[in-house]
Amino acid sequence: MTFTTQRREVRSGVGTSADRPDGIPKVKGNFAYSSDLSAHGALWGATLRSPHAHARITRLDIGPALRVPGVSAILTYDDVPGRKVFGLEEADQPVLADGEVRYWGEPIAVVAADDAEDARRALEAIVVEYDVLEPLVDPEEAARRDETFRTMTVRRGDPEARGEVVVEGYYDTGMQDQAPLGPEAGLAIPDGEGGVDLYVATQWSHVDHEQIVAALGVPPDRVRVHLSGIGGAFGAREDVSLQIHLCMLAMHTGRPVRMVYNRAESFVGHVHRHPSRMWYRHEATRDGTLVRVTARLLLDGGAYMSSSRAVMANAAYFAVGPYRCDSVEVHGVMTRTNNPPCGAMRGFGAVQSCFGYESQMDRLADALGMDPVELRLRNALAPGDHMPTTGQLIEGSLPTAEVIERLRAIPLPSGLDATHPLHLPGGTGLTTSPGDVVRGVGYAVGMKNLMFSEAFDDFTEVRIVLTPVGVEIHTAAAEVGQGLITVCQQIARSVLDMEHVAVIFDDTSQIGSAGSTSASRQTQMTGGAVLAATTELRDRILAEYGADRLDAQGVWREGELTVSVDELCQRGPAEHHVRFRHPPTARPDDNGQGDVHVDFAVAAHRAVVDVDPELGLVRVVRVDTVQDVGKVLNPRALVGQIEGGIMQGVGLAVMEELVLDGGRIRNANFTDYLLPTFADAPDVVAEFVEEPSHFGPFGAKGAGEPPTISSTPAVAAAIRAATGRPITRVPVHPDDIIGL
Amino acid sequence: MRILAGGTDLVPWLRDDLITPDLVVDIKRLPGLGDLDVVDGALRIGALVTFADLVASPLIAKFLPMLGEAAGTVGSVGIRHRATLVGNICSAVPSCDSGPPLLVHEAMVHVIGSEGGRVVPIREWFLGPKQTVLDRGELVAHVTVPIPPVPRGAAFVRLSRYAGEDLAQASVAVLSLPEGEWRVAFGALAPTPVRAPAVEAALSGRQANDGAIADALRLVPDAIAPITDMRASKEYRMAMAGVMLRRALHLAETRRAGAGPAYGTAVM
Repeated sequence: MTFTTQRREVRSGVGTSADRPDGIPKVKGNFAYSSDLSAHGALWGATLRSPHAHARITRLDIGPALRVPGVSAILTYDDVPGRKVFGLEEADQPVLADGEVRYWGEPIAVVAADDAEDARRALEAIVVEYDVLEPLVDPEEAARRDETFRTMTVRRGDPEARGEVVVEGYYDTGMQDQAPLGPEAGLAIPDGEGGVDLYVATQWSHVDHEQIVAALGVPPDRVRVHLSGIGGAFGAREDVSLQIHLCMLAMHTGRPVRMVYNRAESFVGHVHRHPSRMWYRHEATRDGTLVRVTARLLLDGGAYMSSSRAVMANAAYFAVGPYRCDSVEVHGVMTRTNNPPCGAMRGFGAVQSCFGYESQMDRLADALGMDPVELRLRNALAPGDHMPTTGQLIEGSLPTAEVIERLRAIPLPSGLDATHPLHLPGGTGLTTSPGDVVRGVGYAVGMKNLMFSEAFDDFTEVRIVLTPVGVEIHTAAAEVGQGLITVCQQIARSVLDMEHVAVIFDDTSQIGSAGSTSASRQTQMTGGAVLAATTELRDRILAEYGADRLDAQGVWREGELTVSVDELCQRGPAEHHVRFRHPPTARPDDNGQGDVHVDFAVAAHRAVVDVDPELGLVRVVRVDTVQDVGKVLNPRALVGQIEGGIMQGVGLAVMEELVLDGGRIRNANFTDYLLPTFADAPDVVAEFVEEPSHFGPFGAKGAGEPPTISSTPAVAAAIRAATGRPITRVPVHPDDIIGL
Repeated sequence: MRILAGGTDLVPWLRDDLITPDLVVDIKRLPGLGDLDVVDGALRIGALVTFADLVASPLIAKFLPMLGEAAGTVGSVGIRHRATLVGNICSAVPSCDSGPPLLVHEAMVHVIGSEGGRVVPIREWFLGPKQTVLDRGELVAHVTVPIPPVPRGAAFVRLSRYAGEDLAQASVAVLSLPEGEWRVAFGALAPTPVRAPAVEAALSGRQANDGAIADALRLVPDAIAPITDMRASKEYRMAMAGVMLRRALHLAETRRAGAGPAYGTAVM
């Protein structure tokens, strides 16, 4: 047999804008999301929720509802077979209400019925009587009563240090929602042997699995969690929503059960971004060197813990931003109230404090009579410096000054574009004429940790299998739309010199945890694991065959193909499994000091806004950004992440907020929870700084969160510049601009 | 019993259990309800005429361009292809976009029912939020809108919170007619769309100059009764009514003089 010796280059490796395999199906509507799941004979699940933010349940009678035709099961707290509580950090949330409801929308009972209409009728027939209690909804009051999930203090340096110029202020951020377009949805299928398979859109199947088996009281091997198509996540799918309910209903009825939240239910069915109230004092020398930063951060965790403790820590550790400062004191309080539970959302605590410290930096620049960009450059954190909060020595890359300088060099857009009403703040209503508009420009810089911190045992598992037709990457890492599949494929292509790479999502019984798709971690963690596994597999094969090259055709020695890939696969399983960890991090001491983080990224944003000051309306014209990404693995995917993150940041700046009244969400719908539409989307000019990370495939850093962090304060700064108003709260309301 | 034409209000209300009719009657295939033509010096707009039809109509562009301008601000492209003008006034939400234009144009609502027909002036049509004079067993066949004399100028301005699809937070329709006649109506600023006769009287016979506008603006608070809701505060709506009236008066006057931005340039 003769072999051709023509080598084919890999086309879609690292650094290319490789196509994402899920891209075209998603655009054409062919992609199966979790809400599309179905099974023969499946029952419909539905959830009875509390109409009160705080109440004791004095009577719960499911009798009448059981008589509704088509109903197969109605389950309440007493039916939870195992551990009756769940939670991401600590199990504190009842699977179903335990006799008391602590937030509006808390699940009380779940129903399985022949169809959605029967399920709805059954919910209406459940009799619940409440002793309504006064809800605790004011976080300040909760703090006074010591109703907290975490209080912490970060203390560093000389507490007596004083600057000549002092600025102080209060800043607030509203409760943002992740608002993924795909609602919570899943399908549970009993296996007939006392176990269940759950197909669900989640960010972390293994952590769901842990909580499910505990609640069901079954051995871990009885439950398998399978990833299904995910329609956006942004943190909202890190907590359990309907996972345990579905498995309980399927186990109880012995039939497949599917459940899809509607839009209103989705808004109450997942956690939100913590609203915050922050007080800051910045002190500096007359030349603008930061001397001391003092802050008090009050975040509301709502009724249950979720990831509130970690969010509190992040808000506190990044409370000063990417600036040098040797005297810092930050008090953090995470309250427990009867508001909706809050947890993970893109930026994870760093978003709130960034609005605080960047508003302060502008205020300080104003007090100093200094250019706000110069003030930031003067204090820019760099490798060799210490984190102002934790004291951790910055190793690896942190190009703060470079992202700021490069951002400043991007040309500003020209003047007002009045070619179409949609380019004006009044938008579709023709309320604004070009003469009514003033323009403003604002800068902001943000910083965040990448991957998990504070001594968390953070790992991911990957199994690489070489087959005659290509490479399989097995993982349980969730593709939430960010492009993880593509990045993993590109890495494998580049290492193995093979074009055909498939990412296969294993269920929880087939592979170990990949960790959460959160904390900007999957590129560095699962991407890093793919790099490690493919490299080790390649090197092992080369050594085994005494070869100097491996590609899709087989192994080569000195330009000659010696063993074909078919033969290679026949001789034994060509595969490799890794459990991949990042370098360990430390727990903080009592003063919040320690090497608690693995890696960091910075980004800078510049917003240009046109404001109609009489109407109080804002049009975000453009957001420019320079981001520290380590290494660009896929330029198109990266720009997509950055544009999407900026949209979320712009949303928080000018429109996105869950409005509460006594703990009740008043706008659990897309009529009144406003999301920036395509017509609201600013143009984005994005540039990258590629200084390799000390830990990341090819030097890459996670890139998902930084776009959301400093885009919000940049827009707020631009509105301040246009209007002269103080703007101390986001989202900015028209009343704040008009001065009502 | 409820009538279904476009269904863009009715279907969400049904879905959310805001209404629970025992009967829904779909009129989409009834003949004679889709007319959009000129009859006796007025435009006749049938019950099945959509906002997209109004936006595209040369008759509307020629005779009632401000109604076309308002039609173009409704919802989104998809909504405008379903939603009807008649359905809009039958739903009668305070923010209905056809209310203020029909009020300043003094439209007539032609009702048919088992007891025969009747014609209701638009000023008597609205009774309160989602309430009209329409009785059970009646439906609106069409609306007629008199073609106003020339020279005329008009403007519809509508406040929304962002560039996406939004309900009007406040709206103003202004019609300037020969001999110094001004007509003004507001939407989303009272339980129903309202005409503002006192504001009109203050402007009567005058150009929309600073003095006349200042006199008119003083009378706005008594002409409207805005509320605070999650979308906007009463104070904000009150303040915006003045700003938008001022801008609409300038725009209508500029247009009467043959200048200013073309009607309907707000269409997305």
